[in-house]
Amino acid sequence: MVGKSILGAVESSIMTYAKSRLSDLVDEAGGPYAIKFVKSRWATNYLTPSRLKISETPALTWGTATYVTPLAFPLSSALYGRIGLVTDFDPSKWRIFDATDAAARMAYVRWVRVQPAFSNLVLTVHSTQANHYMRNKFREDFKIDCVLFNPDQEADLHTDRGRDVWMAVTDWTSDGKIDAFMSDRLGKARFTVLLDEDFVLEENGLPVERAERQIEKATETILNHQPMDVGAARGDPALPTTVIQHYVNGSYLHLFIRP
Amino acid sequence: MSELLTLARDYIDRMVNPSYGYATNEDYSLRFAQLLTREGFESSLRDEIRASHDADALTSNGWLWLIQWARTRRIEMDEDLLLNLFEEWSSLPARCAIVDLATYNSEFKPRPDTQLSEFPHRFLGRLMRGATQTDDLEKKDRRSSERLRLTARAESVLLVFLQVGTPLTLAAATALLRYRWQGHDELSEYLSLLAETVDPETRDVWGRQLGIRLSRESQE
Repeated sequence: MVGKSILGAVESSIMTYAKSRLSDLVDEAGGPYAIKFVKSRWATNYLTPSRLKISETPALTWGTATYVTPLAFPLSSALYGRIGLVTDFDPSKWRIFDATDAAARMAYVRWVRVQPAFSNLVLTVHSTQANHYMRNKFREDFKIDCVLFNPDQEADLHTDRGRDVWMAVTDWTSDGKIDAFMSDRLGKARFTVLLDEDFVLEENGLPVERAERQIEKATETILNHQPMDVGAARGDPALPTTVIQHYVNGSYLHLFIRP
Repeated sequence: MSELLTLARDYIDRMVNPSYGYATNEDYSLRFAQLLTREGFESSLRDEIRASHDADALTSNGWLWLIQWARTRRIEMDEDLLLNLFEEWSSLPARCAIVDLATYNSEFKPRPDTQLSEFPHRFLGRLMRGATQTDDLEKKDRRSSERLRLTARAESVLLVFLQVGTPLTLAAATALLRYRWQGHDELSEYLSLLAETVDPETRDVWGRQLGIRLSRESQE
């Protein structure tokens, strides 16, 4: 239900892996590995290689997919949690839509504007669901395995919206629909990175564009500190005295987890 | 009444309702994924979905998720329930998801000249008959403003058929557009207006698929 010129514009924006920007990013990082930061409570679920969850919430940029970053940008998604899950993947046969390229984004806009339901995006209260539907339909119609895009949100100093590239990876059902539930394509994720930082994702219920560092920003203002293994600290009878000393001296005690 | 779905109502809503925010959606989604890996849970859920008749069992966001999940798992849902949900919702993506679920495994291959009255797919036929029923709108005491909305339901159904865009739903769209009823001319005019919003090439594709002249160039 779409004219030839628009179909051609979209198709010319879809690359094989070998010709795509993802190939360069994989080479830069030293291999096809991706990372996704999640909340701490999921750390124990990923002590052994496990499948990443496919995100289905309509609020995401490119529809139902598994959202990760190539390891070329290892801390880019840190605003979503302290636990970095790393997995390998095989992109060799993927069709890749590079939405970091303005021409590709405009090809999508041309395609969506001729969809019969386009008016729903601009004239109804259902625009979030309508956009979600359109993005999924677009990826299904053009059999897109992976969308590359610049993130909409950034973590202060960890993410660069203009430079970083994230991936929305599609898992397929046997009849060519976008699958939900757990990803087989990103199926060997393991707890690999622990980050000493927390970000706030929303303000007054709306997603923030740039999430501030909460811990590092505070510690930067304190001149002295003392690192201490939390395991040792738990059994240290002098710990109360140590804490009081830091309080009195205006310094802080950093309890870290020794592996 | 589906007990499992009713119990899961708030849980599923937190998983998929965007108003709870990304973090809550993802958190509940991961928890639900864990539940699905437990032995017997997914098969119980499948049985509940097949047996469900109650449109109030879930919120609209919950149903939308469930319908899409059922589609990926090829689980059939009760036709009357789908029809009720279709009538209840004004959201076009939700209506598209319903039609997709109700038609994806259809083996009907309708001819281009299939009439609405004999349309071979029962669910689509019921949708079209419901959308073109005008008995209550033709009463003399109805205000003209109500009569003007004669085609509102048919417009929405047509839009869903076009958007889903499979050979079956496009054949249904053609049957709906050709059906001679009170709103025939208004529905055709609506399609013409809609077609004017797209580029000429796409308009020609629509015309060919529907077997209807839409292109101004073609008409001249």
